[in-house]
Amino acid sequence: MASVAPGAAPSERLALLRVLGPGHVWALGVGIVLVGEFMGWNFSVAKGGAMGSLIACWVIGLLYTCVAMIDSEVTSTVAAAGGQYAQAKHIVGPLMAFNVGLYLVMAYTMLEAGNALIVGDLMKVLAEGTGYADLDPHPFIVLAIALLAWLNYRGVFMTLTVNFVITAIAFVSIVVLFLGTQPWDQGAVLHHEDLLTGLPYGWIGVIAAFQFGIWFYLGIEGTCQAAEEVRSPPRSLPFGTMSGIITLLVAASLTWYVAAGLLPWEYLGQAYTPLYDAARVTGSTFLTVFLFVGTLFSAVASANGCINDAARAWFSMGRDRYMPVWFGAVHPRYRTPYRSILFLIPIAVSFSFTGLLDQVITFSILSGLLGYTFMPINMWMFRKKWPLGSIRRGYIHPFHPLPALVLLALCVTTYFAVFLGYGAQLLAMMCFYIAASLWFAFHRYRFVRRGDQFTMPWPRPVGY
Amino acid sequence: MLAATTLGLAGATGLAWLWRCQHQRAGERRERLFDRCRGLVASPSLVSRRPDYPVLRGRWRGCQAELRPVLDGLAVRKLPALWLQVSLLAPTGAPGTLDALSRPLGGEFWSPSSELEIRLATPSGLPETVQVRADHPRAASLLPALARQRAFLTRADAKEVLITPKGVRLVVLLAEADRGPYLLLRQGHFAVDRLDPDLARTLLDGAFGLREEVLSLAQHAAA
Repeated sequence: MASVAPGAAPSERLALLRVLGPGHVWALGVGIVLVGEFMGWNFSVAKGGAMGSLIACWVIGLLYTCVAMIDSEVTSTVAAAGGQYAQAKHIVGPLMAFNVGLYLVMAYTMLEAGNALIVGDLMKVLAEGTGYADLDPHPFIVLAIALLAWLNYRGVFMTLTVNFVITAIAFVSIVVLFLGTQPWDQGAVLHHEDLLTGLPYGWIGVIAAFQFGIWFYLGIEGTCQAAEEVRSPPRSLPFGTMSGIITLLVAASLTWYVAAGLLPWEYLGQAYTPLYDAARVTGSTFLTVFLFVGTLFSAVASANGCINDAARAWFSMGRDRYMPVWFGAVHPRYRTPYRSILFLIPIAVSFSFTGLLDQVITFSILSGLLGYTFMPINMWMFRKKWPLGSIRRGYIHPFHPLPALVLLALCVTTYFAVFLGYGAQLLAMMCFYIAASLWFAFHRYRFVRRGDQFTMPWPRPVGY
Repeated sequence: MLAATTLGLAGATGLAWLWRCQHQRAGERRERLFDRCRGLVASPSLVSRRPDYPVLRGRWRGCQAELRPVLDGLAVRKLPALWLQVSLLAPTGAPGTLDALSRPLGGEFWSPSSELEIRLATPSGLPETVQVRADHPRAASLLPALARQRAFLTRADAKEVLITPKGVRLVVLLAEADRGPYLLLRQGHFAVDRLDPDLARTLLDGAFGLREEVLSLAQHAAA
């Protein structure tokens, strides 16, 4: 057992192992992100057909590769801060940081709403399976959110093993489903030759599918960010993030392969629980039950993480005075951001109650997309204000500005994809963020302690 | 259906039992943090706050002393930190409150820094990342005492120096959460088991020295 010696630095391990432990390569894809394999991604099939969905999956993988490269350079340099929120404060300014904070809160709160919606839907399916039709899922939605919010409010000490068991079961269920469909024996269970079609809407459908291709990976950039107090993240951070993306790419391809071989694309494109539905089609009770449990566990684990992250982002904004400082309070006994947790509950519940999973996750995708759009701008400003050699960088990503340009181009394309099917939601979100920005600029900014925003010991930026 | 329900209930019960056992073990492990330090202070008293870490109180060179671990997992995208607050609670004669916080993020809820309205220039010789705040302009007279804390504030684990009329406090980073469990599950899992008495002694002596400096300044100002 460790004992703390006076002033001693933590024992040195290989830099790579600090980011990637033996189980971390696969594990980087679980937690918040894995739920994207169980639901949501399949809406891309409705847009571009099964093949269009697969193309979108891989192209959006390129988007996230650029995210990983760019984010790693800034994260490795903005030491002891962690994440795009702190980066925006230092590189762009308070208004951008305010927006980034909102992106985080909205992306995770909408994901939480989507997870709760899935829990309600699963309870309804369970009830129908036991002969009780017309079960109202709303109480289960409220129960799921309320219970998880209560756990976060109380700061309930969820032991590592219990959490690990839950997320491991979710991950294993995908592998079991894949093996259970006997992919080595085409035609035994999977029928790709009968179910796969061409591109039903042509290449414009493939573009439209980009929107939900985001869902495979949304959150991976946050999963790998864990700044330390006194040390910059190691150079292996981008490798860790890339490993996570590759893991997700493999999991996404497996998911697609199984689902596309069991369900016709017209059904797959509108299912709420595609993997569970695929398991039911196999006729195997074991697979059906296992995937029911896996879907439920992944949704619950994801929702728990979302409440945790969204509340902390809102809390940070309260502490920084971007939001009323009332939100920056910490529970005197439980040491949790309890007001932020409570405030976000009705937002999640109200979106869950719509019952429209595709629209709820569209709001989450849009918020995430806005965050990714900020990254190339952030990168460009970072290199301009603090050129190479002016400050110490833990990692310098190659081929700049190519990754930034590719990321920006893919983001713009994905906005177009959202416009193709969810133009009203796109407009609503843009109006929301513009209104929020105006509120911040003209009302809230006077409360912000401007001198406290910049805490890094960097030289004056070029041109200032 | 009955088999599935039974299996589900058995699984849920098993998870609940597993959680309860581990929760209890974790609480017991936290309670042992000060096992090697109890003899360090006079009239030691251990305040249990299960499942949180306990607080050790006692007397150090005539002053009421307190060693309080604070678990901080509220920063976004940052590993949870376990801070150790070492306080000497005895009048200092300070004319106000002066706080020096290293690498401030804004989310340090356990520090009074954010409530102190006056920002002062960081004394030369101290790291640039130290932010100095006070509640009153008179507290600026304590800056010489702060400047002499250079050896402490340049430590990698040093976080805060706090001077108030009622006492002084030094805060250090005791441990950071393991990266793996945090990346996976946003869990704060700390490897620290028992506090090294040498570290506690160093910090208590440091706090005592700081208080002596402040007392000296106060007496000089009164003279």
